[in-house]
Amino acid sequence: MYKNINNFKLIVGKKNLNKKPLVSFNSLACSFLNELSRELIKDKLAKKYSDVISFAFWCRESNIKNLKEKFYDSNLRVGLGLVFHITPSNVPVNFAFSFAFGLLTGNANLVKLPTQKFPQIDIICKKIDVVFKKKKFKKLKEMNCFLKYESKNSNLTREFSHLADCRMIWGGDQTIKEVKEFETKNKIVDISFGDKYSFCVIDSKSINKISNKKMNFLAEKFYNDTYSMDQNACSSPRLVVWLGSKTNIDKAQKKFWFKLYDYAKIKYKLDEINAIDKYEQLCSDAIDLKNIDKLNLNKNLLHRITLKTLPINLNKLKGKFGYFYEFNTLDINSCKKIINSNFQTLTYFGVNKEVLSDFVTSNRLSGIDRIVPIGMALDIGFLWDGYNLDKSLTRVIEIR
Amino acid sequence: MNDLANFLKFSPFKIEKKRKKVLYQDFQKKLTNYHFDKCKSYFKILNLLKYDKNKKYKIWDLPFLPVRIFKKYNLITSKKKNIFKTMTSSGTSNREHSKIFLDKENSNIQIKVLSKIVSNYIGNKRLPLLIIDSKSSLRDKKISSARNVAIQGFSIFGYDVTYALNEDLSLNLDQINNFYNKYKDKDCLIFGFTFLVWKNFYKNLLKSKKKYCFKRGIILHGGGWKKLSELKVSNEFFKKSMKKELGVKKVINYYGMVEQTGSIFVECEFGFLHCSIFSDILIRDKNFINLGFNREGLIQLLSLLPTSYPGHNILSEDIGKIIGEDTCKCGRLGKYFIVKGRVENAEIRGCSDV
Repeated sequence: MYKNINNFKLIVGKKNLNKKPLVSFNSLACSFLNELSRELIKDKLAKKYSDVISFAFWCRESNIKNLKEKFYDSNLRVGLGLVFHITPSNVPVNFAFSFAFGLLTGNANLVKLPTQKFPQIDIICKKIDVVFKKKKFKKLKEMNCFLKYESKNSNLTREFSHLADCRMIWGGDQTIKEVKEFETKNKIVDISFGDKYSFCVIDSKSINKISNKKMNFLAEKFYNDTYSMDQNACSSPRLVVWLGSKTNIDKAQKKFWFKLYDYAKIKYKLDEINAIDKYEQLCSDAIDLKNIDKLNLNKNLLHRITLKTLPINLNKLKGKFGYFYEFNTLDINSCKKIINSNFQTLTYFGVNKEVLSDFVTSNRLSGIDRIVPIGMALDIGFLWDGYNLDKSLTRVIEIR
Repeated sequence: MNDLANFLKFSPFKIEKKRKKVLYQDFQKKLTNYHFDKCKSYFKILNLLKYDKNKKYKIWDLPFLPVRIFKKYNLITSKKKNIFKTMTSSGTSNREHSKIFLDKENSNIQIKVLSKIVSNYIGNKRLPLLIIDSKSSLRDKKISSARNVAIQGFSIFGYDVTYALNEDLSLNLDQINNFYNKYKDKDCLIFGFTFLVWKNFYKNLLKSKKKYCFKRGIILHGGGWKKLSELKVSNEFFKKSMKKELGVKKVINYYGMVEQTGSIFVECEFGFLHCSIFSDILIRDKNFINLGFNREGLIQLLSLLPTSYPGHNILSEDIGKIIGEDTCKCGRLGKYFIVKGRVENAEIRGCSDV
């Protein structure tokens, strides 16, 4: 099937794939994920990794059933054929979700795994292999292949692009640009996930009202959205917009950041190089930004830069490792000018979600694909980056 | 900056810590204010860090710049029209280079101080000099890499300057043999960048099965251990290998940054790098807390030389440890320290890049 067959390392599955599509949400694919979920949940090693466990939970029977129910419309849907997954090198379990999306929708899958060594990848691949070995899943095994090769080996990406009916291109604008250069089938479906910017809106009065216990819980959730991924996932907020009067905001910020710092102090491992990166960002911001109101530093763990105004090119301001930009305002609508199509996730607390959806629609914004409570920034699902992936990965057959 | 003229009168390793502390703190503060007033970008950074010109600061509380900032911005203190030379870091491993802008005054001071420090180790007399590099690397005068600057700087210690490498950095055996025949029994100096000395000189000599014995020769080398530590070559092993292959009596390593050319740190016979009166070192942890002596951390370097650019107080990306102050057996006063290597590059999580 492939010309460059010796240039990659097969991790799981079959090299020679059967690309013929199956009906979406066929019972074989569903029960495969159920069994994979069970295998992962009972695995001792997997328990150490919260991201593996959350993938396992996503695959469990009740959730798949739920997704299946939501999926059905009156039309018949089948897979597109072969989906080529180009997964990001630095998010360990993303590949697993990408694969599960392709599998459930009835596709054959060719998954390019990150070359970086993550224990999570080994754990999941091993379990996939275990389940594939069961006789009843032989048909699925023949449709799936997980492999590793260096990204600079673009000949392989070229070849796989040529074969694919659909490409899931994770990994930022540069990768997308490179991959799009390759020749493909005319009808190829490209689902690309470019560089994204995410932010958070917090109502200060609501923060001031909640109990300390609830505040602790919220800080933990915010931590999971940010620090747990070095604040570098596309859906991790980089900017926090505070709503309310000055006095309310002052009070709320103290409460919120204090608890976050307290939690991060115990949980987060800041390396020297991260501290230097943050300091360099700080110096760069001092030189580049004209609208800094004030700077707050909590050791090197938590940096906050309050902005007087929001610059149009805000999506250039990408703090990492606990480096946040803040903007205080009475009205969320004062942020409308900065939103462009690169904006992805808006996490919120204390704000009515209808107000936020209205913010997107009444201002006719070209960005913001997700509006979710704080703590759910990283929860990946069929709805992502404005795509309805379960629909995008299928071919509709009209039957009258 | 008139104070520097005074400093130049001192011997570089003869001021004890109490006196140095007073003199140095005062001078660093003046330098900080000088750049604060004249370099716009520097002003913006210090302003954000809430620096107060009129406040008294301890030396460890004065603001420092991350060394990488010189790669991203052109930081200039002196008037643009006075800049006559731009130095760049020679690091081949990085895509971006530091850019350092020099006026005549700053450049002259660098040469003077370099000479004061180095002559303390190798004597005042000029020596025949074998440079482990090619002559052609010196052509472009306006823009100089750190390598060129070092070669030019160290050339003042020598005469009969001979280049050991061809343009393609292969061995020029004719030149080397010529030099050897003339000076094998005499005092002489061999100078080069650590990596070139190792890879292009030493390794190729081994291959060509040439053996030399510069009985009274000194090898002086510096400019980064990054590549050598990748090859798992330690300072000790480097020394031993050089002595064996070239028969030299001394191998001296120096440490310094292109951002602080001139006020370099030279290794003494006991294996420690020494601060002179023109330089100082602090060690910081990941929260930038001053760690004092005998604890490993990020190296911060302070120099009195930079006037045309704000490079007088920088945080490096190297890890090291201060051993002591004024107490080294070699007799030189000032802090002495060791460098352990570069800070580790952690893997960043996130969703970019394939």
